[in-house]
Amino acid sequence: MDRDFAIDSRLRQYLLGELPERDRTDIETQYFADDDRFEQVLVAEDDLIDAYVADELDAAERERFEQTFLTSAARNERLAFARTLHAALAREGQPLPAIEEAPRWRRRSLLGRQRTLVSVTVPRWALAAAAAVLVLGVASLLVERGRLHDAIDRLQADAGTLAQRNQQLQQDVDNERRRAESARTQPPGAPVTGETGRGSGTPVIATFVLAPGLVRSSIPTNVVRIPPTAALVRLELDLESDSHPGYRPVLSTAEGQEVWRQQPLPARRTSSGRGVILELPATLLMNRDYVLTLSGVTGNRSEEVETYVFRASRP
Amino acid sequence: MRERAFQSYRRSALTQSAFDRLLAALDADREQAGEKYERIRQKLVKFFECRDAPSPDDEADETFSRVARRLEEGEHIEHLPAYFYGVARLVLLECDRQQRREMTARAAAAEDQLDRTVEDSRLPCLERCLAALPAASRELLVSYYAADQAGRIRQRQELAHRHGIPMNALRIRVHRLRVALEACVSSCLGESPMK
Repeated sequence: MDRDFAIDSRLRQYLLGELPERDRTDIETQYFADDDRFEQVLVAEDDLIDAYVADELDAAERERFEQTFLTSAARNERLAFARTLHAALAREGQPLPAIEEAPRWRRRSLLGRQRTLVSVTVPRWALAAAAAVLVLGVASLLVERGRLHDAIDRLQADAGTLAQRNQQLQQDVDNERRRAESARTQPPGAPVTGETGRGSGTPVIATFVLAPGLVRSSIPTNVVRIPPTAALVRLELDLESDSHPGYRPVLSTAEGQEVWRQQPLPARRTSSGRGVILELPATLLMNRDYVLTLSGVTGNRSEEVETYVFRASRP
Repeated sequence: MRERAFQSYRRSALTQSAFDRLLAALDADREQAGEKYERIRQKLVKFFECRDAPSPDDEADETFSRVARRLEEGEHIEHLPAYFYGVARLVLLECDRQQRREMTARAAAAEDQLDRTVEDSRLPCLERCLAALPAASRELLVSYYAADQAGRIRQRQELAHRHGIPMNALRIRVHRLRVALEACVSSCLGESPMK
């Protein structure tokens, strides 16, 4: 029950929009992959609506429910249905019969009373079967717990490996930048695909200019075609305005999995005005959609300022 | 947060061949594919609802269109559910968050006005739908919702025990009854199901 309560509580927070982005992504990834998980979300939604109808939400939850949950016609319709359902069931409702207490003459010790009640009402074979199911259930829970612990250990090890790899990649980027700096060419305008540093022993940097904002169209606006010879991909991220001393780039897949991030970088003059220039190893990018988020950093505060969506394409 | 204007877009219609290819990618059996399509659609609508998209159904359609287009272009997609989620996130990013809130608040206010006009017919429809349920299902619903907050958990545990099922299974059973009732009421009212 504690686990059910924890899950319900988390799903309630998800439905009320109270979870941080990472947790929301986690829940969404799960229910897209697993129909049972999705049904849990729907059940939690029923419970939340029921609690609102019965006036059982605290003031903060109630306000949150009204401001963030009741934001679609479908949800309002569901609320209306819930109200009607409660009213209809109340009219039909009958109280559950109370559980009868064992007569006084049967109340010896607590154990004795239970044994007597059980021996009168439940056959022994059912008891044995229930006990076997309980033992199996506990055993499987323990196995599952062990498996989860192993999974956590593996994930932590993977995280450590990724961190090391990230460090190594960063060193590679720094090395390549130092070697290629003098060979850089920059065609004006955007978007462009450029290769720099041709020649034996000189790493190739493919340069792309990404426009900010997201334009809905049938064709992706930013397509980053990575030449096979490119070792580095330089991305020039146009900024509509430069109002922060630094900008932290975070690269994620379209599904929300973070693949790369860097310490804040200052904006620089670019071919199209002001922008942030970052370089990442070409091997990081596969044939898929990516979302690159820039957060403006001022002191201890940061705010998301731009989002760039692009599709990486390799021949 | 920098404000971005929500830009209008052109949505290309899903051609029959694109739709067929999409279903085939979901499952070789067309019947199963149809069920999976419906399930993914529900998940997409839920995702867009929870993320304040102004028109979850439209955004879900757009997501389907884009995935179908990619399949028609010959892209091999290994794990379709995750791919749908990824595309949905991109579709969502294209909505300005501020405008999303404004538009959904306006939509909800308008629907609230509309809702009052059907409120009177809803109860008789629901009572008719309840009466059409098997007696055991009706009794389950009545018992499930009978207790007040103080005794609810204990009462539901007893109910689950009486039915010989775990608590979570009871909740899912009640949820499915509720979905069936909602569909019945919508049909009775002459509307399409909202879920």
